[in-house]
Amino acid sequence: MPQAPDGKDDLGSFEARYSVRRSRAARTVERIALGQDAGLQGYTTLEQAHTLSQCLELGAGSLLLDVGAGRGWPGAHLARAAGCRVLSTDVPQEALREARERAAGWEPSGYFQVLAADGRAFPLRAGAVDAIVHADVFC
Amino acid sequence: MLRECHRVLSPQGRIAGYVVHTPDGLGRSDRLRAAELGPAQVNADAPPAELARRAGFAVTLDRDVTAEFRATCEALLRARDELAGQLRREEGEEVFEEERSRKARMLEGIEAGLLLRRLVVALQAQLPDGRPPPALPEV
Repeated sequence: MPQAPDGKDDLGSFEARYSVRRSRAARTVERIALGQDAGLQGYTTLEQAHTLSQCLELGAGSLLLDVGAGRGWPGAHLARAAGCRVLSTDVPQEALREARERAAGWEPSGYFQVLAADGRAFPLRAGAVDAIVHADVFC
Repeated sequence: MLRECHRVLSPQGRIAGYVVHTPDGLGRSDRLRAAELGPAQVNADAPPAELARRAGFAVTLDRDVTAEFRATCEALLRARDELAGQLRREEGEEVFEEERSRKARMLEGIEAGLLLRRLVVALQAQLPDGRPPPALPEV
């Protein structure tokens, strides 16, 4: 497999991108182009999030795992719509911090949890989650 | 990542996600070019659906969404250009240029046919110990 250009898309570059404070203009760009302003690094629009929701058939009792969720998109949105629980995972510290801030004010309490974990080893037992979503991991 | 997802997903659980990838059969120079223009880890040994099957999933939907991907990229670039002045002030020149360049490279890769995007949905096709689940829902 070809090697990536030095430093491209490694953890450091993701940390740097998430550490940039999101400006008001950047939020406007997201709303115009993607239909939401959750602060994602990928390309999943609000309409595509709805498609994911339909495909996963989430119910109120479901536990959803969002892999590489960054600030919590799209898993938190899907969980909110379905009234289910979501476990949001990623590695960049700044993204996790912002996701935890969102989770702290979440209702019902405990339905949005944030976990520092990459996709190679989740600290979960086998068969623990009912559905998994991922979107543009490594974008 | 997919094997770990397979481990933690419950029997009959679903996984759905958007994946940026490269076309089959690219030569070495094109693979290198794709990794420069898109996500560094964009090159894989097989298409996304095949990777999911190898991890033990039963794929129920494998849809090319590259046209939407291109439209989203174009919309992001257009919106950033329209708000360029405000973005430069709020984000700073360096961040603005870096982000614009990242989106422009992605669009270049899409237009060159080097970067594709798919929606892949799959079911947990077997229990962690290898036994099949009791039943699979119709999709």
